[in-house]
Amino acid sequence: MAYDHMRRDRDEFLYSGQRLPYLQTLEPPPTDGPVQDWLLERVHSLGVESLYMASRTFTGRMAATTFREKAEAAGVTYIGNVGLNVAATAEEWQTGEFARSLNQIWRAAWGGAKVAAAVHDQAARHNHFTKDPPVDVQLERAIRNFRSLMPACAEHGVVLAWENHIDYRLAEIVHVVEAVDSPWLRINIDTANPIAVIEDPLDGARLAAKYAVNMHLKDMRLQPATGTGEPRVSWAPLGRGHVPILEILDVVQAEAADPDSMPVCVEVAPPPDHDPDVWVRSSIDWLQSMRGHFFQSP
Amino acid sequence: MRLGLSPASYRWMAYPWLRTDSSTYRYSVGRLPYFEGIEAPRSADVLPEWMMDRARAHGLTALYMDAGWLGTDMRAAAFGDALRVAGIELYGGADPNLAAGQEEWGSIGLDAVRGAREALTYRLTEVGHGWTGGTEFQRAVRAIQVSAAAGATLVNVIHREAAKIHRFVEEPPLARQLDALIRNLRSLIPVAEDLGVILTTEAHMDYRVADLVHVMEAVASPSLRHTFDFANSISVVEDPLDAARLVAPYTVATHIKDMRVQPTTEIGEPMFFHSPIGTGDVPIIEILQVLQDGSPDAARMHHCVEVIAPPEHDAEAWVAASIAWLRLHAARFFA
Repeated sequence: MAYDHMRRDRDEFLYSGQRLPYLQTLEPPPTDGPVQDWLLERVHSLGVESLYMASRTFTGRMAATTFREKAEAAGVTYIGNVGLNVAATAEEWQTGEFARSLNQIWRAAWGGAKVAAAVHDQAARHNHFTKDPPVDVQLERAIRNFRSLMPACAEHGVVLAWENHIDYRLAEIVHVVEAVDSPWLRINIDTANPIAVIEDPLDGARLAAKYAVNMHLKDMRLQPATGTGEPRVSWAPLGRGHVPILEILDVVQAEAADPDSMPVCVEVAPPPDHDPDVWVRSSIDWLQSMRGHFFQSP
Repeated sequence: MRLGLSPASYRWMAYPWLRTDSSTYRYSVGRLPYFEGIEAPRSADVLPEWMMDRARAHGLTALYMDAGWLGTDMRAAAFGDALRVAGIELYGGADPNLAAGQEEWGSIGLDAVRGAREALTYRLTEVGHGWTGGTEFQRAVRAIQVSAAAGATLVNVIHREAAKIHRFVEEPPLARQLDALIRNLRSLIPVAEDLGVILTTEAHMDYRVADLVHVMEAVASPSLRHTFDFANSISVVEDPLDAARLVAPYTVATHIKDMRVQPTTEIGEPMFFHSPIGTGDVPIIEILQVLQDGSPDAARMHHCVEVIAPPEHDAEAWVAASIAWLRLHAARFFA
């Protein structure tokens, strides 16, 4: 509905032969302006407190500062995003990736973020399963690359929260975080993404909880046995799938350094022909009914 | 280690209820296969012999098969004779609802065992397959009896209701499901002992290998061992190599297959695809090594090729490519 490159009202979406959404609660954001105002309005309407958004969507410092002022006025905590190739070679890092990452850290800081989710944006090329180079080499590169960003994070006051983004296991991310050994590199736990790399979500959360500074809450339904013999994993509203979200929240609440002030973002993305607002509201309602006390203001 | 065949490799071509030339398949709007390397079986009546021919054509020395396909003890004995002449060992299959409650599982007394032969018939048709009549216990018993009549040494007991009752459903909770598995499998041990066969569990896209190790430890019988599936762990979010390490001491046979994992997709849902052996993400060689080192009798163990091409692709080409890959890259295990 909102991403420029994925919106369902694009010609490319029609050409892709997918079903259309017919009964939508919301109007999509206007195409002739920044999406930030629309997202802030969503945050307000849903009664939540934080917004996670790509820092590169700010066209420059002025746009970021304008957003910061609006977010602060609305009492919204901004969680930044830094997309990077964590497995970049030394040459790739020095000739572009380092500068690209720095630029996004600056933008996150200009937008008011104290925490930015670090997302590996070459997951199709380098991930737990790819063999060139093997995963242990990828992780060695990640240690080196993240380590080089720590001084900039300290200078701008932005903690990078590396997210398990359907690319690596939380066990692997914990290994890198411990090797870098900096308070400026922590973890954004995604509750469902471990499934994609064959890691038990609760086991992963137990390993990563003490480093967690942010979470993406999502659920997935698992259908292990199917007619084709290929398992299917499908999006589900929170509480309707098979991810042990409540157990994971309990673990993070017990073990994270500062759970009471940790932003936790609902990330529920229904198939394109469904109504995202229905899914998001249902998910928030479920969360409030099951663990509302975790989310009450002090 | 030796290579065998699992009929599931030809499921879309050969299973009467799945065949791509069946009305059911045509109605499903699935794509058709246009370039098949072999002819499909003429009818369900010759399915066992067709599978035996496929095993022989690829030089395989074991065949895993649902015992029900053989129907009667007499038919089973004749088929067993033909297999022996061909130098092919039979592994039978049984598929009761392993998570059944006591009532559904039924009486486990001697009368129930004796009555299984009369109480059950097996249906193998386009519109359905499986045992009819009797209790879940008797369905398992009958499959073991038919397997034994055909000379099978192993009978793999899989959970038939995997689509609805598996480790992720909440009702009944997993602990109660596993308790049922323990109770139900334990009731089959005297039958297996009496007929001289070893039963095996298999993680069949329903439970983790770790769950089944718990079950086997609880049953604690030398007549209950394990058939390891190389890829099924993926469907229950369990690392296949970790699973192999855990279950190697119990493993007496395998279903060898590969699967490609595509963690990241545009829609955000990971995808898992069958693939010819050697082209996916299952660490085949590492698992073979773990089983070679840790299983009780690796030299005798059969790895039954279970490679499932999509229905519109040539199953024979996938099987041939997989066997060729194993003979080239894993030759040291199959010397």
